[in-house]
Amino acid sequence: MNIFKKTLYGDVTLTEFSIAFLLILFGLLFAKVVSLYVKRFLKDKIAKEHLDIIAKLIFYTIFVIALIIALPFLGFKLSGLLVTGGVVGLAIGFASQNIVGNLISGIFLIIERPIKLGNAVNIDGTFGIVEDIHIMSTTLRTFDGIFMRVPNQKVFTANITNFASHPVRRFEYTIGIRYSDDAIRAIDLIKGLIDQQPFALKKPEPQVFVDNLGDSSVNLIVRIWSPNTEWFNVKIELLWKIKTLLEQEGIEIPFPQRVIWQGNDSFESDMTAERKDSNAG
Amino acid sequence: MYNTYNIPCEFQWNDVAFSITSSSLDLYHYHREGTGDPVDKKIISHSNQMLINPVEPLNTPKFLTQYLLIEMAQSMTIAPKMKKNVYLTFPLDLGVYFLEKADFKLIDVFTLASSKYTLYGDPRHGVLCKYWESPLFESPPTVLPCQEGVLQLNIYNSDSDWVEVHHVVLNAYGMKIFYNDATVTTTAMMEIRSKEVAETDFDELPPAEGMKKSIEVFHAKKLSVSSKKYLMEFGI
Repeated sequence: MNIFKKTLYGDVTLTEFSIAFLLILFGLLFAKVVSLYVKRFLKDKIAKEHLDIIAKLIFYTIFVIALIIALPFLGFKLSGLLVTGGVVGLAIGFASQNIVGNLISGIFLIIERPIKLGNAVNIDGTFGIVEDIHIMSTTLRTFDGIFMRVPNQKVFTANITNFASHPVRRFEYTIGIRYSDDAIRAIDLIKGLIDQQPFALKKPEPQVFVDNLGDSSVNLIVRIWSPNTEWFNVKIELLWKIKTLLEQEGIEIPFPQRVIWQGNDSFESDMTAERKDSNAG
Repeated sequence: MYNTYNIPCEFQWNDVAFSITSSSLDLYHYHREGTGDPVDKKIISHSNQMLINPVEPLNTPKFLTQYLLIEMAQSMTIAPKMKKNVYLTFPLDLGVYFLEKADFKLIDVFTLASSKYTLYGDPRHGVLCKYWESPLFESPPTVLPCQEGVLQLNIYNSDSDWVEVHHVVLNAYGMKIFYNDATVTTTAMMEIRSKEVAETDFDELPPAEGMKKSIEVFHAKKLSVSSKKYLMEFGI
């Protein structure tokens, strides 16, 4: 009698047992190779602790598939398993849909990397610094120092503004001066101040220009680019310096004004008053 | 000016005054004012020696980038396959080190030159750089060695077309600074590959004999530098 046709237990022959053994062995090897390849491919894109979790997930998924393929050769009837597994799977699926959603979102967040550790971000209206990106959730430290955990599914589907994604950013002031002030001189003074501030970038060049003629003032727009780590300090420092310098040079930021015509005044006297007001700024 | 000094000592350079005094054995007090925020530090050491030497111009007012962009006041047009040595100036930071036998500890960095930053490239992919504007010289210029150094730039246009150069971007992690009583120098190479792309690198050899080698900040911090070269791919 051929040794390979000899039954080991039940109906399982040595041949079937060997095939099952080889399938499981091949599955193990294939899972190992794929997880190693994925690790190497994503090494520069994903943090190590997350990469280990993804590699293990891939390894066990492939191994379980190989095991399921090998089971019929070992005498297990999968039809019964499928019915039971289907019902159990449905129950688990309903119970864990949020968990799985967070897990999948976490994996995509780690691969896509719209946010990184230390980035200042706005996730669906929540402002903060990214402290950690776990496989299930992302933790933020809000600007007032509060810990916040956001499920990855929410992070993934929310609108994200990442303030630190680019090396530089622009900020802007609107500065009103009186109609009687020399706007060109004001622009030169502001440009001089910007030039002295090291973190106000040389390029992209800052812009200072008359934007519009307002009700009470000539409005200047000041646009400055700055490193994204420094822009806020530069913004608050420069604004006060501009205000102080303009005042020192006799250029004032006017209060809102409104000219009111009295019904019994003559047109001539109204016009004279208006001219006087506009000259006074 | 750049030298090793015995403590106590004090200096006044332009508006900057700094000193190291000892209040008791092994306890020293460092004070500096006149540029940036005043600095006060206590140092405990057996040594009584300090070193002042020029360092990479990246540490003041704050370390934000490893790249230095030098804009040429006049652009330079180079014929195909031409090589030429030109000279530019670059800003200097001054490093104050405390020496302890063979070891050294950086205790302060300041500058007498003006500081400015710029972006090389576009806001999305560009690189933040320390900015400096320099005239172009055919021979080494005379500059104040406490404020500026002289960069010898060996330019080679390997392209088959004429190229106009406006600026050079250098990875200052690899900067090797040499000095003597009269000048501070460094040497860099710029190989132009096309109208938009060039590769830059620093030379490690002193430009002249008898020059002392600076202890650079990145060397003092014992940082391992993976690459000293920089590929200028956003235009030259």
